[in-house]
This record gives sequence, C-alpha cells and structure tokens, in this order.
Amino acid sequence: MGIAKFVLKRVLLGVLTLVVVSIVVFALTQALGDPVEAILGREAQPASVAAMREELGLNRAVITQYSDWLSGLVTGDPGISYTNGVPVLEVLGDRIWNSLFLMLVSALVSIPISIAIGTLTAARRDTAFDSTSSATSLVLASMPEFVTGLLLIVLLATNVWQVFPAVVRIRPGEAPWVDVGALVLPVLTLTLGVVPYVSRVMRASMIEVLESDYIEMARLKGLPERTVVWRHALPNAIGPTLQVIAINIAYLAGGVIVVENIFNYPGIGLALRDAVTDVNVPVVQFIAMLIAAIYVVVNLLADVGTILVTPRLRTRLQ
Amino acid sequence: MDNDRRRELWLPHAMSRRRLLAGTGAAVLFAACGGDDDSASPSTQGGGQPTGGSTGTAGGPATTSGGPATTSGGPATTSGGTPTSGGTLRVGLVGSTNDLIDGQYIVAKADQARLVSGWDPVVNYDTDFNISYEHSLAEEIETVAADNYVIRFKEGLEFHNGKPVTADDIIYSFRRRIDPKLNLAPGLAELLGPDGMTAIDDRTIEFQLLKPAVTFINGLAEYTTTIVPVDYARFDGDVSNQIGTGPFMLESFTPGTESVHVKNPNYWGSGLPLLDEVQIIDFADAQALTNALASGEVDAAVDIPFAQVSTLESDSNLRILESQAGNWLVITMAIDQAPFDDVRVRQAMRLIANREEMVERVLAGHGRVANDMYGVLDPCYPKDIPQREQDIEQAMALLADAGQEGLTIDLFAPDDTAGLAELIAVFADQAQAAGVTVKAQVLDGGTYWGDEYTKRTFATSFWSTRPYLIQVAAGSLKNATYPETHWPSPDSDFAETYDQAIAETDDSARCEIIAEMQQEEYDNGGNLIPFFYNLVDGHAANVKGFEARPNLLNLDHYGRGWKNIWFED
Amino acid sequence: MTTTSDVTTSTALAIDDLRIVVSRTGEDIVDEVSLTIAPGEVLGLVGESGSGKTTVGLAVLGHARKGVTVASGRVEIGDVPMLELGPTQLRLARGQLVSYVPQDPGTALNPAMRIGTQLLEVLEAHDFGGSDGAHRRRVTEVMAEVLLPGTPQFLRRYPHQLSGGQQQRVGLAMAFACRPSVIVLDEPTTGLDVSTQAHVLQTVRQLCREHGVAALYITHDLAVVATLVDRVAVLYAGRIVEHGPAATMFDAPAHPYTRHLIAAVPAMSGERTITGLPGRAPSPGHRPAGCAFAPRCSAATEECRASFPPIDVLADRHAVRCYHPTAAIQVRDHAEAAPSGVGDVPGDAALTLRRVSASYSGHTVVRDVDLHVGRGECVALVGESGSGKTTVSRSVGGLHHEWAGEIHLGATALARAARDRPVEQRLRIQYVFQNPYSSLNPRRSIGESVGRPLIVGGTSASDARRAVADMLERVSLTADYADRYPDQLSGGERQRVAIARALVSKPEVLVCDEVTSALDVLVQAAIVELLAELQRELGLSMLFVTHNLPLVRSIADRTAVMADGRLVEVGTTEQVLSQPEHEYTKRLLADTPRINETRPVEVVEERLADDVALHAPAVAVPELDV
Repeated sequence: MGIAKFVLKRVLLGVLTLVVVSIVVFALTQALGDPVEAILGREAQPASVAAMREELGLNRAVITQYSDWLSGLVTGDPGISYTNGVPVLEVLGDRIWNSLFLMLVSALVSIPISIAIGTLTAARRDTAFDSTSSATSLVLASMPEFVTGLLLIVLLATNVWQVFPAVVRIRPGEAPWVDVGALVLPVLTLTLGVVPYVSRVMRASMIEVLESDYIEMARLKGLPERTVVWRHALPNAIGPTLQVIAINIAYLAGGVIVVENIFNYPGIGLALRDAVTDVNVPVVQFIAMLIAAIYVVVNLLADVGTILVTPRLRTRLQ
Repeated sequence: MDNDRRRELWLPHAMSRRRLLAGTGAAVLFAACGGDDDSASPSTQGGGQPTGGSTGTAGGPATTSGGPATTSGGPATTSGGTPTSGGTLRVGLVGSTNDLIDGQYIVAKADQARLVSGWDPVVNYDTDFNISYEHSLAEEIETVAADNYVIRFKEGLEFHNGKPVTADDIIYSFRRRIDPKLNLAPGLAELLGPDGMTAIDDRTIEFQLLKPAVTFINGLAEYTTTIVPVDYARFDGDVSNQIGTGPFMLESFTPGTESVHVKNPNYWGSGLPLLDEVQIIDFADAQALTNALASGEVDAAVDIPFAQVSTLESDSNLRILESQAGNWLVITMAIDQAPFDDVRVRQAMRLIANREEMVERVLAGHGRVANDMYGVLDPCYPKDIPQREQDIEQAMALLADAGQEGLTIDLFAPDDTAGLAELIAVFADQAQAAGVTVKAQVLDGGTYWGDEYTKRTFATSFWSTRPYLIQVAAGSLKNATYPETHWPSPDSDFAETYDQAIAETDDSARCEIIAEMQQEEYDNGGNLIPFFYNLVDGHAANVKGFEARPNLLNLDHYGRGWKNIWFED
Repeated sequence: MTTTSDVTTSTALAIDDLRIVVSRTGEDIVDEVSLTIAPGEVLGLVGESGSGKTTVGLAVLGHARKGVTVASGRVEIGDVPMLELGPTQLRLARGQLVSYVPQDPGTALNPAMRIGTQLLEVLEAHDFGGSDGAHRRRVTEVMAEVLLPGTPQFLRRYPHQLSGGQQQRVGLAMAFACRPSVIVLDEPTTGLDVSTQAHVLQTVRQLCREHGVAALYITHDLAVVATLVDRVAVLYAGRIVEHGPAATMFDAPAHPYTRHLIAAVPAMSGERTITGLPGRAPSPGHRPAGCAFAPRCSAATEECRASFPPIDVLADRHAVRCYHPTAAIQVRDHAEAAPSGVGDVPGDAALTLRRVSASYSGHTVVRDVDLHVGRGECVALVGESGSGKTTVSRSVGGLHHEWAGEIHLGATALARAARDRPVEQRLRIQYVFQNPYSSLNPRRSIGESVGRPLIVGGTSASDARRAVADMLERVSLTADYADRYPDQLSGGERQRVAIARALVSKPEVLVCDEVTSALDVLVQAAIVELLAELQRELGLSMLFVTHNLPLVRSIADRTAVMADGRLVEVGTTEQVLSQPEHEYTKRLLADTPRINETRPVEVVEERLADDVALHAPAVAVPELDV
C-alpha cells in the first residue's frame, strides 16, 4: 500500500467522521432551543410563530431538514442566518479565513519555537537554562489565554508601553495581514498558550531519545554534539510529539475563540458566540462542522507527518 | 458595573424580556404602552431645571414655539473652540453578528448608534424630558383632541438620494411601524390603524387614533419613529436601499464587524454634519472595547465598565462622558405574598437599604440615590417627597409589629444582568443589622427569566428610562407586561387613577395626578429602588461635541446622529 | 592489575589503575583495572552483568555514562591520554582513534536514518581521506570488509530493513570505517543466533588481524570468545580477578570464579551438564571487604574476607588475585539426567503435533511439523531465528492462532486460540516466555502474579497463598518474594518467578520459549539446572525451545531441529549432537562456539552470502512479541 493509498483511506475515514459529526451536530443544535421563540419572544402571536416556522423551514420533517442541510453543506450552501436572513457564508465570509489565518500563523510561529525550546532544554537538561525555561513554561501553562492576553495588552498596548494595538481591526474585504503589527499580540497570546505544552512534550520526548543507545553511539562515533542533537535526535523525537502538536493545533481552534474575544479579532469565534446565544442554528451548525473539519484535517496531517518522519512506518507502506 | 445588557446571554425564555431591555428604553416605549382615554400632552414645563446649552426647547406640543430655527443649536453650543469640518470618527461599541440596520427598529445599542446616523426622529425630548423639535423632522404637532393630532413636517426635507420627503413617504413610514408582520411597534399599532392617516398637504398629516392616548406623543418622540421612503426595507446586504433623512449615509455594513457612514451632503441641517465619515466598530466585549479606546484604536467608546473608569480618567488623552439617566435596578416584593402582603414588612425592607452604600458598592459611584420611585427624568417626577434613608431601628420596630422579627427569606437574582448579584449581596449584608437573614440566591439567567419570573416573592429586575405613565403600563398594573410586584393591591384605585392620567391633556393637572400615584407607590409599593445609574462613555480628548447632560442614549444621544461631533486639530 | 608486558613489542591500548565511581556517592564500580592490548591483539573482558565491563569499555572511549565518573587512572591509546582530552579532541579521537561496537545493533543504529548516511557521517566527521570522493569510496570498501554489499540500494536501507546479523555488520563497518587503532566490542553478538554470531566473530577476528587493530571484546559468555581472543581478563565486581592467555585460562583456570564460569558453559561433547553458581555478584557499594567473591566461594577463608588478595603471577602472563588459586572448589554436580526414553511410544504422548503448519498474514512460516512429547519427557526444539520454532511453541500455547493441523494434549485436540480452550486445558499447558522483563506485570506483586493461574482456576485465596509460597521455594526463591515487585528482582530471579507461575497450577506440559537467552551464562546455567530438576521431580513433559544447541544436552531427552519452517532432524539428544545426520544440524554444530576445542578460522563464504542476500524482511515475521 502506497502513501497515496493510505492518505486516501484516511481522507475517506475523515469524511465518514464528518458525516457522523454532522449527525451529532444536527441533533445537538436541535437542543439549543426553539429559534422561533428566540426570535419572536414568548408573547409572539401563534400566527407569526407559524409564519416564521414556515419561513425557516422548521415545519419539515426532521430527517428532511437534516438531509437538506447536509446536501446544502456539501454543495456549499449551509443555509440562511436566522437572525438577519443573510446567507451563512456571507455572515461568516472573511471571518472563516481570518480565523484560519490566525490559527495558521500561530501554529507556524509556536511549533518551531516549541520544538527548539524542547530540544534545547533537553540537550541542556538540568542547567540554569533548562530550569528557568521550565519554570517559565509552568507559569505560562497555568495562565489561561484571557489572562495572558490581558497582561500583554496592559504591557504592550495600553498602560505600560503602547507598542501594538490592543485590538485587531480587519476591514471587510481586507486581508488579515494588512496590519501585521495588530496580529502580534493575538499570535503571541496563542503562542504562549501552545509553547509550554508542546515544548514540554518535546523536551520529554527528546530526553528519552537522547538517552537511547543510538545517541550514545552517535557520540561515540565522534560526531559533533550539534549533529547529534539536531540530526540524530530531533527526527526521532518529533514523531511522538506530532500527535501532541496536532492536538494543540486543534486546540488553537478553541483558543482562537477566546483570543478573538480579547482582541476583537473578527473571526468565527465571535460569530459562534453570538449564534449560540441567539439560537442561530445554521451558523452554529456551520461553525461546528468547520471546527470538526479542522480537527480531521490536522489529525490527518499529523498521521501523515508521523509516517514521513518514521521510516519504519513509511517503508511498511511502500 | 457593565451597562451592556449582556444580550449575548439571551436564552429562549428570557429572550423577550431581555430583547425589550436591550434597546435601553426608548425604542420599546410603545411596546409597553397600552393606555386609552383622553388626550393631553405627556410633557409639561414643570420639574427639571434647564441645563445650559440646548436652546429652543419649548414645552409640550400644545405650546410649540421652537420650530426649525433650533437646528443650529448643536455645534455652536458645545464647549471648546470653533467646530471644524472633516475627519473620520471611529466609534466602538459592543455588538455582534446579529446587528441589524433598520431605519425604524433596533435590538441592540449597536443598532441604535447606526440608526441615529441615518434617520432623524419625528420629534425629540430635550434635557428636561420635554418634547423638542430640535434635531427633529416635525415642525409642529397640534393636539386637536386626545385621539386626533396634526403633524406638520419641516419644509424642504430630502432623503439621502435627493428625493424630497412627501406625504406618501410619511404615511408609508407609519404604516410600516404598525405593520403586524414586522411587529416594530406593537404599542403604536394599538393606537393607530393603517387608515388613520390623512395627508392635508405634502408635509402635513392628520392622525386619527383608534382611542384617546396622550402617550401617542411619547411614541412620536422615540428615535425609532423615523421617516423612510416608500418601499423601504431592512438591510439585507444591499446598502443602496438604506435611505433616510439623517446626517450620514450607509456606505457599508458587515454585522458584527463594522459599518461605515459617510456625510450626507444633502442634509437639511445647515452646515451639518461636520465629520466626513463615521465608522461604527463592533467589539466582542466591553474589555476589548476599553482597551481599544486606551490604545487609540477608536475615538469614542460606548459604555465603559464602571470599574475601568478611574483608569481611563487618568489618561490625559481620554475623556469620560458621564450622563445622568433614568435606568434603574430594583428589588421587587410581591405585595400579595407573605411576608410582603403586610405593608410594614415592605417598608422595613426599604428602611434597611443603605442606598449610598449601594451606589458605591454596586455602581462604583456611577449613579444617584433613588427614592423607591421611577420615572426620574419625567417632568412630573415629584421632588418634594422626602428621601428615604436607612433606619434600622424603625425597620426592626415595623418587623416586630408585623410579627416578623428575625425574618429569614430568599432573595433571587439572575447571573446575566450586571449589578443584580452584587445588589442582593449588599442588601443581605445590610439586612443583618436588622436581624433579617436574606439568603442571596443567584440563578442562571435562563432559569431566572423563565416561567418563575414575576412569580417570585422577593426578587430583582432592571429597567431603562421611561416616562412615568409608560413605566406604569410596563410594570405596575395588573395587566402590565411584567407585573413584578403584583401592584396594585385589589382595594387600591391606582388603576383608575392611571386611566385618568393618561386621558388628561393638561400638563399640570396630569402632573398632579402622577404625583398622587407616585406617593401611593412610595408609601405602599413593592419596589425597593436603590438608585438610578449613569451612562458612562469615553472618547478621545480631541473629539468635541459630546456634552454631559441627562440623556436617554449613550454618547450624548449618539451625538444626535453624530452630526454635532468634530475633531479639534 | 598490571601485566608483565615486556612481551608485546608495542602497545595500542593501555589502561592503568582505572577507578570509576558513582558520582553521587563515590562508591566504586570499577577499581584497580589495568590492561594492555597490542596491535592486532584481541582481549576478552569477561564478567557477569553488573561487573563493570561495559563501564571499562566506555572509559576507553573517554566516556562515562550519566551518574558515573572516572575517579582516577589512565587510558592511553598510542600516546593519546583519552581521559585528559578536551571535548573537541575527544570527539575527534572517538571514531577515528578508537571506536565502539555496541551490544544491540537494533537499538544502536538510528532508526530514522539510512545506514549509508550513518556510515558516511563518521567519515565526514573525521574527514577520512580528505574528500567527499574518498568518503564514498571508503564506504564501499568498508562494506566489503564486513561482507555486506555496498550498493546504493543497500545503503539506502533503514536499520529495520536489515537482519540482526546485517545490522551488526553495519555496526562493525562504522567502527572500522576510519581505521581506528583500538576497537571496543561490547557483547556484539548477544541476541544473534549461533550461525550469525559465528560469522560476525570471524569478521571481527579477520579485520583485527589484517589491519592491526587492538580489540577489547566484552562478554559474559566465555564460549563466545574462546576461539576469538588471544587473552582473557575476568572481571568480578569491578576488579580483575584473573588474567592470562586464552589457552591457559581455559585449560587451567586459577580463580574459583573463572572455574565456575567455565562450568556454566554448555559443552558440545562429553557428558558434563552445565552448572550454575548460587548467589549474586555484589552491586556497587555493597562489595564486602576482602575478596568480593568470597561469599560465593566454597574455598573462602578468613583471610579472603579480610583483604583483597594481591596479584599472584602463576605462569607466563597468567595472573590471579586469589589466596587459594589451586584449592578445589565445589562445583555442584548432579547425577546425570538419564534420558528416560519413555516418550518413544507415541500413544503415551503428553503432547502430539500432527502436520502442523502455521502462517503470519497468509505467509507460511511452519510446514507440516510432526512431533510428540512423551509423558515426563523433555524435547528440545532447536533452530536459528526465523526457523519457525517459536511459532510452533506459540501455536501449542494457543498464543498464535493462524495454524492448521492437529495438536493434541493427551487425547484431546486443542482449539487454535488459548481463549477458545477450557480453563482446565489452559492450566494443563503452561508457557514460560523469553523475556522475564516484559512477561511479568510490573504492577502486580510476585505473589499475585504467581497465584493468578490458581485464582483463575478457582482456588481459594489462602490455598493459593500457600501454594505460591511452596512454589517459590521450589524455584530456589524464598516465600517472602511474594510481596516484592518485578523491578526489585534480577533477570534470573524474574525468570524463576515466571517458572513458578507456570508450574503453580501443576501443568502436564511446560513450554519454555528461549527462557535463558536474555540471561548471563551463570544465571542461564542455574535456570537450566532448575528446570531439569523440576522436570524430573514433577514428571513434567516439556517442550524446550532454544537456539542454543549445547544447552540442550543438559536438559533434553530428545532434540528436534528446525530450519526454514520444517523439522529437519529428530532424535535423542546424544544422537543429534554427536552424530548429526542433516546438513543443517551439522552446520549449526560447527558454528557453535565452544571452549575446549580449537577451531580453525574459516569463513564460510556461501553462508555469508546467504546471510547478506536473504535477510531483507520486508514483512518482518515476529519471532516473539510477548
């Protein structure tokens, strides 16, 4: 079985996962409450309630609603927002890309940093550098995002130094990278949330690898320590860390919601919050499916990545 | 305390209650107005001291004298140098993707700020809560009878696209307001039928009501009672349909993100607006908004959390704009349920309250002590009734008389309304001195505003600024929308007195009746009203035109459609 | 101890009074170790695990593992003082001046790197030959020297794509790549089967001779080095107790410990059974005053316990540290286990296999095996790794399900999988695994582990406790072991526990799967002794699976030899060992290292070619994955 075949198999599995998730999401959003009551209020006239139900298509059989919704999702039409009648994709629009961009940049910044810190602390285990960085990461790991974010704002945006903007403003139709300075704090907040975890796992994985026979052997071969750590140890330590990295990227999808709140970053997190509040079922469903899709994709990438860095697995597929 | 109504926490059962209040009052005045009877101007000269500044605010409609001349008032009266034109104002407020733009309807404050930029009201209130024609489309309202009014609009009014405002547009606008399908103003719909309007000429319309009600004029004074062109409809993605008479025209709108409003070059107010552009930017929460103001990302911010005020005040680049308002929190006692079916127990509770301490601990000082009576901005508010002070001794005596010494009772509050949980905690502290054990029970908002709401013996609630009679209809009648205290008692003639008042067209006569009603609520009512809280906003020091004065809406009534606002160089 | 070293013309490696201690406590692990090795000479450093032999080997490369410090002494390679070099000089010396061949090539090769890269980088690190071209040429050359193909395809392989023998050859190639003057081989053939081991040893010997490399060969198994080394040093508890030319050491060992070591080596011919040595070598810091071996020595006197004996030079370069070097010591001797021959009657068989074939994922690894184990008989199943012997034993135990044919326990046919067999049947066949480290649940006390089969079989807790205590004593442990946990036990003790667990339910048939391959010779001998004794006393029927041919003599009545999934020869152990009929058996015997025969150095060319070409297990057949 080739790698392509493996990937195809995993993609199909991912699609299957999403179908199952769609059933769960659909069922759970039914439990959010009655959207008509949410929109019209408790004192609404029965006639307007009936008209609204008709308009929203809520008088159809549940199974029809589900299949219509699912086929809409597949064809790129996830429905109409209940609260203002605008198509969901238009309501979310750039927000989807903004959130994905924030996630991606945070991942691209935090993962190499985590790997570097994990590797260096493992290589210099029990030195002052190691204990300082593990103390720091313990402190950071114990701080929730909103605390980190607010501290960064106080420090770098408002009270102490006014270096970066406290909020991110992305004009409609503009790309999120137009104002790079504004991205610094949100990305930093997410990075500080991810690095402690990933670097600690990386450190543990690296220590295990550094104690292995082949690392001792590499040293006894007279290889420079740099080569030993980066060429011999790192590729072996990354494999086990990849799954943790994947979990953390998927976690970023959640962290993004908090960070978007703090920095008023116009992404799906804010939209989700509003939508849940107002029983705006189509928006909630779409965002839930989007996050599920991110999980599936990230895990797929981690699995493929694990195979690529683990020759034993890779050659088995060839 | 955070002034935001926490609309993001709406849950189905509490929905209508919170939706009602999200609009901070004025928009829903009519929703709660169910009066009948006679006609009279709701406002009188009596009461409020004139605050400096705005001129030309004559009394009620019957005594109209203001006229179009008052429109020049705005910028000239603001302090701090000569107004200059140009610039883009960035306004931040807490909003969401559910934001909407409708020239005649709002749900949230974000919608208010956008509505006032594009649409002018028919009439207005001035600082003293009297009807005013300043900032308004009407030139004169003639009260022919309590159920018959003639409104003459100003001359030469034009829409954003240059089309003149005609009688057709005006009639369309009112029909849209009362359209049962749109449900924009159900209270108005009770008073006015679709055929109740007759065009006398192109700018004069006669209104024949279905029943007499002086509160019709309060309805006209709502900022959502605006004029839109025939066939106007709510924003659905196309900005070109968002046509009104206001100082700014909608250029773009992304719900939950921002809207951009550009200067209406065709505006009827001469030399206005001053700004080229207004951007209204949505924020996820008040903290992010405050940070944005502090770091200069916005020029003005709506609703500063009280806790942040002192920090922002210390920044020389910022100004805090604090306006007195008529919004209030309340502890409600069901007057037909033990132990509050005994008026002595109700009075004891009111004597236990140390209101100054409540203002400090709950509002961080951003409010003023109340006297168990609402409608504080109403010109008819009785100022001669003595302020009720804490009197533990007397409270204990009353409780002893009533056989309720050492009373133990549950007091409920929702977790989704800023201030209420704190309020009951403070009250519980204060009650200890009188030997009363108050168990503060904070419930999930969904539960609180659910089926048990208005049925609890000892609970809390919150209300926005309303004229007295309209508030009575909302909360203090048996058939009120939210009869929280179950007022009035069956043997009281309060309801009859109310009917009398709403039909009384003579201002001073009506004020006398209102004073009587207020006195009865003061003596026997079930409301423990500790304070009225202020509207607290912030803006950059170089933004001029905002004035601190008693107000219905934030940011000095949103700068009356932003037209009075300008940048100092 | 120093050698009288005027014989060698030059010295490649000199270790002088080396002392290595635990950094934290200062307790010595290695003390008073002095050795010299001449170019082209191979010295065997022999000792039990924990004796400090690897520590000495690593010190030659100027390396001390975490927690360990070289306290004093000198290590010189030529005139380079290895223990005094700075980090850069040390790095340059390693791989170039002195290199290391690790014990387990499976773990010592980087799994994420191609073998060609791993080979090339040694040359690049030391810039061998001065150019990229020279590096690449040397790769091809050194691959040929270790008898591996130097083709690009082969060099692009990853370690897991090589057989164990090939991996070790790659290890040798890396060690020899820069033509070092000294090479340290740390049990490089442990875990390899006899044939592969023989060929790796041949290669080592050849390379050392041809290139004048001095080799320090570390091992616990005297037999392995018997044909390889020129001289032997015996290390006990961190100190060299005897030292001399190989022939002398094997013919006339002076130290009681050396004599025990030799007695523990299974002999290929002759009637001697192997014997173990009770007790354990002291761990660092717990070494008694005086001679460390005294507590285990039957000849020990007060003097021995009082002080460590001085060096006693016995003969030509033969030295010993013992007060009673010639005293007769008591090497425990047993009455020979007379092969009963009862199993010759198939009708009386305890275990019968008929036309058993087995496969992994459709890949057939065992074909048509017919075998029986008579009641009270021990049958050895011998073969190299990959021969299918373990698959057969696992099929018997019900651990491997993919088999066809019939397996009868007495008269009852067994279901394929253990889980499909009734509890009573499962208790009648017990299985002892190869690796005592992974076969015991670390979270269960010994008592719980051993008593479990009884509890499963419905015995009451108190009866089980008594039976466990009894069983632990039978395997020469004490009842108080019941409260200990596996990590508190040595490998030999764990294997005893595993045997106790297997025997506690009084099985009819015991399957022992390579039960001694992970153990030191002395421990191995003790375990085999124990099994033989128990088998006799309890009348057990036993299937004893091993790759170690000499070992079977001590225990098996009959021996069956497997090759490539087929049974090639079955007969009495005596027959098979002394008059093998099948070619394969003959070769297996020829490859087996032995002490008391001097074997000519010969490279069996076609066999090596075999080893190279045929071991490309794209789908590795798990030999045992317990």
